[in-house]
Amino acid sequence: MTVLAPDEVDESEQRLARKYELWSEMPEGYREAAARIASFQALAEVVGVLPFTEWIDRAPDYARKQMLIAKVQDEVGHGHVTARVAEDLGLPREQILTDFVEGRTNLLNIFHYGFDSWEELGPAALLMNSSAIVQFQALHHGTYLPYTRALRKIEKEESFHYHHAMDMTHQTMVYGTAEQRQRAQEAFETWLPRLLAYFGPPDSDTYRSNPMYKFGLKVRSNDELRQQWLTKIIPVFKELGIHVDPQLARFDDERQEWDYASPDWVETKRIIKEGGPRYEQWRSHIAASLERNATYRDVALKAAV
Amino acid sequence: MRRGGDADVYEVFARFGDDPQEPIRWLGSVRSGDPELAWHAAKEIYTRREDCTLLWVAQRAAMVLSEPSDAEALRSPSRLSYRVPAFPGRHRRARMKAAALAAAEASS
Repeated sequence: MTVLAPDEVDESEQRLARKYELWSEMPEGYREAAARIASFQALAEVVGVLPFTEWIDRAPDYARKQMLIAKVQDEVGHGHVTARVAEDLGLPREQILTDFVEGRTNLLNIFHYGFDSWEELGPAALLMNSSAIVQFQALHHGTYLPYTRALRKIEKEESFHYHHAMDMTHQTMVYGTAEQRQRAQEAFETWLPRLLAYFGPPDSDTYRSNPMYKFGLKVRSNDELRQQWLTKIIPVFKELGIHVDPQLARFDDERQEWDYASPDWVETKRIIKEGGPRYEQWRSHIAASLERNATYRDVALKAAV
Repeated sequence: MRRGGDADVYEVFARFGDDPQEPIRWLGSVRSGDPELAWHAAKEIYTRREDCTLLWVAQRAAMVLSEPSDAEALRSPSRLSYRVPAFPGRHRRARMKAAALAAAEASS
């Protein structure tokens, strides 16, 4: 893990001390960078929820179905809130979606997949929600205030998703058959490397000169966040009865940091660029709803003027 | 000051909890073609977990908003020092000091 020297801590605090509102004067490039980060999240929320929507009508009991619907609505709401932040900065939501549909924006690696079984949902969602929470808790200290306010609302709902995912995994591990428990175990082993990759490539020597980092829009480095996340989530899975193979992730007492199986970066890059197993399905789903709703959108926007 | 733009943007304000003394907070905005639909969008997006007791939306285009250049005019204590509680006290102390000085001069 990166440990900052004292003078670097000062620099890092200064980096995050100056905050901006929509109407503030911003350094060159800041506005575009803030719009990019908000629009990126808006898209991730809207596409990231699709694997869950297809399980609503297959949920095995009524309470689960209700919770799943609530989660889906929450995520779409997060999409709205972050899209508003981007729109105010000059990036309309139609463009965020059109850029995705027409292949100009890439999706993060974890959004290229779906779930093959009900038992996969719990562990996968638990890994995703916990990593989102770790990311958001850092971004909360970012410099663009409309975005940090949006995150404040989002974090409360993510906490519900986290507990729901934990409860689903618990149900499988305690009341499930051996075969179901095996599926949960496999889901953990499949999704852990994907989430490790989701935090981005290992820190380079130059990450502090990355404009996003300098602007304080990126708050912590990839490796810092990855370590924080492992510290938080690995004990949770162990407690749920999932076996964590030391080859996958293991805490090194001497170095006081996690060792983990390095994700397949070549494959991760390929998926982001060329699309993973479900990419085309999610893309065409968004394309179809954009087209289906075009008339209503036009009418509503004309009424507004 | 400036006029808010974007006729289809509505700013969202709410109060959470039962304390009527709690100020109404600005939460963010929604986009809508219609004021009532904007209210419903705000309800669905912003009041999902906390216990909301009051919800307002205001069309951004109808709002007048302060700008950084208004900061000077808005800061009362530094601009209008005679309105703050410390001012009468300071005024009184200055008066007493002047009286004491005058008395000292008269007696010497």
